[in-house]
Amino acid sequence: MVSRLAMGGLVALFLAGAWLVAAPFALRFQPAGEVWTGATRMDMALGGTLAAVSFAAFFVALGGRIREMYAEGCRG
Amino acid sequence: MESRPGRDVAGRDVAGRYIAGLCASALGLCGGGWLVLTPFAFGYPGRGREAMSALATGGGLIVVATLTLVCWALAWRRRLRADGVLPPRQPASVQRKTRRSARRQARAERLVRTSRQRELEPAPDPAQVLTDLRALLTPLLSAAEESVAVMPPQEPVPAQAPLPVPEPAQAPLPVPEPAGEASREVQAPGHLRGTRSASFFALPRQAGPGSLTQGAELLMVGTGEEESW
Repeated sequence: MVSRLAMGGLVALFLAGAWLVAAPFALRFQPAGEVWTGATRMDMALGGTLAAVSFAAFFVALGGRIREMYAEGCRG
Repeated sequence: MESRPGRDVAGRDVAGRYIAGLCASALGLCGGGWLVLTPFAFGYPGRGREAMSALATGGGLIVVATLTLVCWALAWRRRLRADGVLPPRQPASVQRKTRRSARRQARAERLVRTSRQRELEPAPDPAQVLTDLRALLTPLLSAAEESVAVMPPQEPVPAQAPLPVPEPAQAPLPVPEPAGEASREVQAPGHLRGTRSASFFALPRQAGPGSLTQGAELLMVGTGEEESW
């Protein structure tokens, strides 16, 4: 249960990063085709980093869990 | 096969997934905090879209990242317990009993330590005490001996007449040699009936067939000396 919650947290972090990337355009405080403002640049950088890291962490954790399941299957 | 840190016996990475989850959660937490601070740091227009977006996203990110961090920490802890790295968790009642017994043990050790310190305090030496007591009492005893020795042993003293009180400082009479030597001897502790007492009993015999009253008085003086010892 705790592992599933932790994996869900990583998914939520990824979604938050994605939202940060999309927020300037979704909320229209960054007009399309114009030079990015400071807020847009910061949101893009932070959201992109967070999404990338949480994405990688999710798959690392998933890979570890699958490895454990393999080990348990071989033992059992 | 010897296991390396963070890997199991077969060499597989055990801690990697937990570390990845913890790192991502920590990054999310820091990012959320940064997002909350940016409207104030960069002077976004108050209640503008940028500011509201940053505050809301930052707050949500902080909550989610904290929950994720706690979940990963708990999962790793559970795994460590299952692998035997951490000691197995005990029920709450057992933990209470263990704490209570540890407190009792500590209290008992404290008591033992204090009683040992009390035992280690130096007790007065009984032989030294007896020597000091003897040094105090010897002048009194010699004065009493002289007062007894002054009495004329040959002449019978009438029962009603009081004994003549001698003045030892002015006219000290010679004391019989063996008794005088014995009075200077150091008496062993606990040896109460020594030569000093025997000197009192020997005097009437030296005096020959003295009166019965004089012997009784000498005996009383001797007994008093014993009691003073």
